[in-house]
Amino acid sequence: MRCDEVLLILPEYAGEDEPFPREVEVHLATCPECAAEEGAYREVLAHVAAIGAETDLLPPRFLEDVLAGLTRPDRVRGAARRFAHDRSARYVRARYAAVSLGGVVVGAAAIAIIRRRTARRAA
Amino acid sequence: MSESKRVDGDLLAACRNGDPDAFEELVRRTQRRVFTLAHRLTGDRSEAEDVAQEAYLRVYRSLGGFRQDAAFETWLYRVVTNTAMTYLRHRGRFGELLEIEPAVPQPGPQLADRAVDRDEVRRGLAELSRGLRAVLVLKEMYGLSCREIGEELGITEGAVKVRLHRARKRLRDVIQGGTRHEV
Repeated sequence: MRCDEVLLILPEYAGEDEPFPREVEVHLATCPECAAEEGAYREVLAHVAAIGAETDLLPPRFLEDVLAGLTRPDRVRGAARRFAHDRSARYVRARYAAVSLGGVVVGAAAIAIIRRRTARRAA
Repeated sequence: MSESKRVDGDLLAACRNGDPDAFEELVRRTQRRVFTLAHRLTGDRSEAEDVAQEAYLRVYRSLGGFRQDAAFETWLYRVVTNTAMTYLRHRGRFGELLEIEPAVPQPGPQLADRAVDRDEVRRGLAELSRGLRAVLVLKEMYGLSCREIGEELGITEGAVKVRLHRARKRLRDVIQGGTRHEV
């Protein structure tokens, strides 16, 4: 394999448990530049994982707000409450739509039956 | 202090039995990681707070159905991710998570010539698009599989792999580009 082909493949395997394809392994064993590039990817991803272990400072009263929201949804913060409200409003709209659709189907079936009976009587 | 402890089977069992103190302890042990993930996905502290609160509410309501104690953290991160996706969708910002930056050919000196500083990586992550950063964060920081990420983002496993490849390459290029500017 050529260096440009190997460099294209490196990001796919960097940081994965899956081994490189055999021909890539062979190239890396014989090409110091590509081997160093592969090492650089591993170094960057190790930093990413380490950054992942860092945590943000929590907002004030975060724990209290979370616990209050479990038992008292009315005490959930404004935007979160709107978020929940949006979902319930959508649910209500979906129910109305389903009921309306059902009404239309039943009405159409009733009209069809009446028409058929009327046609039979006329015949 | 209890933040550093993991969530074990005993604590989960107590939570399932409706013990409010146990659930409070579960929140204490996970809150910083949950908030941080929500912040990384939404990019906004206030929105992250909303997402984290909603995620805990979902966990509280569905914990009874959760049985795989060993993978609790992974399950928790999936709940947070799913909640964040729903949240962003409601705000018309979900597209930002699905967009992919075009690949930019980056010739020039290789990154391998020098050691990489963690702050450079941090800055590089901040420069990625939300869509690329999300897959990288979920995979490299929170250990979700490509399949799990795909399920949460609503894209195929193959599409996740493509984004992951693109994100790693882009991050490398951004860091390398930073070097060139400094020289």
